[in-house]
Amino acid sequence: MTILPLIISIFTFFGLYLILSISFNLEFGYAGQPNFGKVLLYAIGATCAGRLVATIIMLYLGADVPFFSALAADMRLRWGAENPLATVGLFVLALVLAMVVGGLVGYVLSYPTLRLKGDFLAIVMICAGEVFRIFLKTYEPLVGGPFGLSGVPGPFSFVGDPNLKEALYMSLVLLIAFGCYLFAQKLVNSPYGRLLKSVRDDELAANVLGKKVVRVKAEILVIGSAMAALAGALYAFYVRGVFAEDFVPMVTFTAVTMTMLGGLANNRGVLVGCLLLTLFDRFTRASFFNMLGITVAFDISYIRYAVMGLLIILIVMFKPKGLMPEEPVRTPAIEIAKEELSK
Amino acid sequence: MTEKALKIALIACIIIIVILGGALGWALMQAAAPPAMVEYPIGLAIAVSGPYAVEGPYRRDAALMAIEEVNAMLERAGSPIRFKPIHEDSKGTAEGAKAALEALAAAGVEVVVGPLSSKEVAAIKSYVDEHHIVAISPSSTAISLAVPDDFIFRMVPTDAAQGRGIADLIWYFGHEHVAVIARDDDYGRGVAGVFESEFTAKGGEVYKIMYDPTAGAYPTEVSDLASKVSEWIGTYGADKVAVLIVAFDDDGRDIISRALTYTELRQVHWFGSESTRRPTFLPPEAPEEIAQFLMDTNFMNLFPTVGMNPVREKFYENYVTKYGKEPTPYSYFSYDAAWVACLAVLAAGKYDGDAIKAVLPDVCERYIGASGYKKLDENGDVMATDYGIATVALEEGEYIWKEVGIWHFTTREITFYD
Repeated sequence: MTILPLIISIFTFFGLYLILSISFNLEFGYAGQPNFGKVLLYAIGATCAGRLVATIIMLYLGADVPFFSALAADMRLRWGAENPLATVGLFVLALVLAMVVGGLVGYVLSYPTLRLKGDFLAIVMICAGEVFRIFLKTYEPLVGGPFGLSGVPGPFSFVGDPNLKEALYMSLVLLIAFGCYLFAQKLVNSPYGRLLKSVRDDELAANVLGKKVVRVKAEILVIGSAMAALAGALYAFYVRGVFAEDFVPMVTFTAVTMTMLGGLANNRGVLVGCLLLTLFDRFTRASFFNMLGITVAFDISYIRYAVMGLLIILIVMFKPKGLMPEEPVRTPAIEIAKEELSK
Repeated sequence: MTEKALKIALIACIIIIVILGGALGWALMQAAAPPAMVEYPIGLAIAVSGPYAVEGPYRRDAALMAIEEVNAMLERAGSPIRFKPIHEDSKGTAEGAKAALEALAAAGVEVVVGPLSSKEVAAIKSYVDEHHIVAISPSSTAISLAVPDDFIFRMVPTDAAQGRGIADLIWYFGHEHVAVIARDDDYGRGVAGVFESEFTAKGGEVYKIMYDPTAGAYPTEVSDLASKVSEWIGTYGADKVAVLIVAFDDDGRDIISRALTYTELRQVHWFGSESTRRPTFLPPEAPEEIAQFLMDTNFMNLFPTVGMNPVREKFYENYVTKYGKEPTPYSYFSYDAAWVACLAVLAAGKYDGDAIKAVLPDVCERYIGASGYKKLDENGDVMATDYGIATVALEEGEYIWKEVGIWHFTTREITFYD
């Protein structure tokens, strides 16, 4: 028994969902745009990264084996292990490509926000995610349709020890997630953060004050979408493949629940929400109880899902603002205002 | 020697005698005591939610029963070894399977029964290969996963055999135009794809309708199916036309319950994939109209078989007694996968993935279980066997799946018992 795979599983999952939840919080919590199509951008990021890396390696190898077969997947992973520099380069390229494509799609998604609001916009976004999932599953040449694309080597493929390899990747994911968190904190605690909130709270008033509301919406969707695509790309390297059936609306709802639990328009709250739900998911598994020497006499899977559902209901009923409610924007202006008020 | 020195020597002697006596007694007790129990975990990465919410629990229960039986056998032998099942819901998705494997690896698992679907197996393949964890899938059938010398073993033949068998069976009845309605997932595409290539190679015509298995209801697809069948009946006659359905429980029942309302769909011969051979298609788990429709259309499906053998009969009886329900066809494979996993650990003599992988082919070569002979090919997949042909029959007021013939894998011949 070793605790390391559990730690790796917890913190990689936490890092991926932190990026996704922060991107949702920026769009919905701060700017009021209910982008419930998070999974669409997540899937786009994974597809761009996975397909790009797999294609380049297969072109380099020139092997005459079916692209989506397990044999080809093994060949790609072996190549990754033997060519560390090239694999790291491909990883960086894939992340950049995923963010650029995600940002572009985010820009396109800003068009519906001009005409739709609230629930209607949320439904359109959910549908967009579902359309892309079905496209991925139906159109085999992209990522293998229902069979998926496996054999996408990660940046640490050259490391021999699998636990060390995964621990290094977990650290990288956490580092990138922390970078996203700092970026989001900087963004929202600036005059731009106040602008986002003004668009969220009263679009008309923001317009009257000369703020370019349409542009702000487009900008935040580009930023949020690029971040979600980044999370998707990191996910593809984590599972070393792209599987259409992973991109179900549940991914969006998980990110939404984490954000709601932590607190909308509060990035620190999102961090706490992500951590709590991740720990809940991993620590309520039969394997974890077994590690503690506890034998659960029934199948705990169903109880887990029921408790998770109950938690969401309780949050909405008793803590609608989350564990850490929204805070004022921390700009120099607010500090001066506080000083003036204290006099 | 003074009296004092004598006393000290005496006390020292007594202490030495007490220590030696204690040590001797402890050693004798250790020798007489039964050996310490050793518990090896067997991971069950079996989905019981998502696409496997209905059928997954049947397979999990079968695997649990197998482990219980192995433990009972070891207890009778006075062996200190026991197997402990740890079940993780792999959710039928790549992400769920990966998370399940990571959790099981953390619990020190070296051998896993599962995952169920090919996409889950594809998702965990590199993980189990790197961590040297043996995964024995009871139901993954994708041809693309047939790779030699990896840590993946599969207890059921690939789609190639089934697709070929269905093509032969439909051709045997003289049907030349087949409308296929299939799940648009790894399983549906695999079976429908092999069937299409085999059937068109014989000179037949195939029209495929692929549906999203997560949709829940399929009125448009069934309407499309009825239109095509109606068109073909008008052109070629009903005896030249057939329908092949590649479905699981909920989606299959929805399609058939909608097909009931179309006269043209009642006129043609229906066939099904191995996944349709489930009690969930018959009363009491399904409405009687569905079973009657299956009888009216002479519904037939194929399933890997060895006929009834004592292991199969015993498994069936024990399963019904224990759980109060009939096992699904894939439960037999799940049961065998768990037995093989335990036997491989015992044969290896140690709980180590590499050792288990090394002995597993030999264990399988000498194992005939509830789902038949488990000899593996060079890719670690069970070698294809003959397939039983079943149809729905009404016997003593009860609808049952009745085996009426056999498709021989090697000769591709079909034999009907009557």
